[in-house]
Amino acid sequence: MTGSDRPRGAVEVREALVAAAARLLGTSAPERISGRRLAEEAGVNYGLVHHYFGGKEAVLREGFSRMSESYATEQGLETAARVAPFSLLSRPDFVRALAYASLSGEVDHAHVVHPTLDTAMDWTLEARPDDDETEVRVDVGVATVFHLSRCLFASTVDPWVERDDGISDGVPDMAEQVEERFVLILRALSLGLDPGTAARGEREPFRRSSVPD
Amino acid sequence: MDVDPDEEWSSRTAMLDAAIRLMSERAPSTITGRELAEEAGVNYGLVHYYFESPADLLGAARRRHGSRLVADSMAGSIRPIPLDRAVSDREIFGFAAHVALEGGYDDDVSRPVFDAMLRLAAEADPGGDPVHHRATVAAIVLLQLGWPVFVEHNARALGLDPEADGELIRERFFTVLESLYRSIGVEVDR
Repeated sequence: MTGSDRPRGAVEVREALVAAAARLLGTSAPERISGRRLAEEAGVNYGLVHHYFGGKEAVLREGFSRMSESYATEQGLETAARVAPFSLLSRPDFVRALAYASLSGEVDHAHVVHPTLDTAMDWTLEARPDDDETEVRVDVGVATVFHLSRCLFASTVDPWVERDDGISDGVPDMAEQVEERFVLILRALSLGLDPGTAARGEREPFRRSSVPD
Repeated sequence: MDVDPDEEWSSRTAMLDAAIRLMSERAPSTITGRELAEEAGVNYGLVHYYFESPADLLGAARRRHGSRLVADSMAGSIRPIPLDRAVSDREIFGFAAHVALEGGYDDDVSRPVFDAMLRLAAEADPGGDPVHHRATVAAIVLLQLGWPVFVEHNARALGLDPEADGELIRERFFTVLESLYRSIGVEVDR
């Protein structure tokens, strides 16, 4: 970066650092992102990390919020009634950032905001007005583990699902059919229904409220 | 380099086991050859002798990881991995997550654990729906790998207390896995 287009002034420098954090968090564990690495990625002097944020921790936290907000905007979550199944497949960087933070034990950075959870929670609470709220939260948590895991481990699972190995008994569109089952299982998990029944391809009726499921 | 064949096999295996331990804790790209040699208790020179490249090592570690899981945790593919083991053994989920984070599968589609689970389903539910079997095995693997990685974050973000509500969360999760296993006719131990 040449001298003339380096970020200048509080607004630009802060913005450059937060954007740099949001980029780096998707590619490495938070404890491996030093203040120097952030400064270098942002094209600003190292001293400014401390000057504006007091240290790298605050930059990383804002980086997380930034990722989360951009995902929410992209999905229209502020106004959406519900989260589309496996919508985080479009944001591998966000899923990876969560995984890196969790695996390195620095989940503190990551627990600030998670817009899919809020939207999923609001919808599910509305759909299950008579159920114990803690139970509903637990179910949404399990469903969200499935959602996030399906995104993080796509490269682990998808090639195996698609593999033509004779075991699939000549099912031509195995991948699509498995994906449909995943969606049914995800629905069952959120609604507290039986996931095994969903895995069989049965859509258990759920009509306890006026909310369409 | 002259190496005794038995010793050759055991130091190569020791390196792969060391690689699995290290990759369970952090991303493969952050692990140096010297760290690997030290962890395995072998001479640094052997790392390059056995493995042409980091990708070569990663591929070999993955294959060993899969076959070891089938041999040990699945008792030679006669039973599924007990639930508690599957979600608490860092050498299972930590390794898998770091490999996934660094996209380390390339074109290799061998998945010994998935295959062993699918065979269990085929034996327990002969003539069953192949889509059901495959989707269920994949869903179980996804839930078990993702659980230890994401559960704490999810619980906190949902306003649950990972400590106080831990039992409730875990109970629901195990019930989910048991239901999925039961649907393909397989019994699983907690």
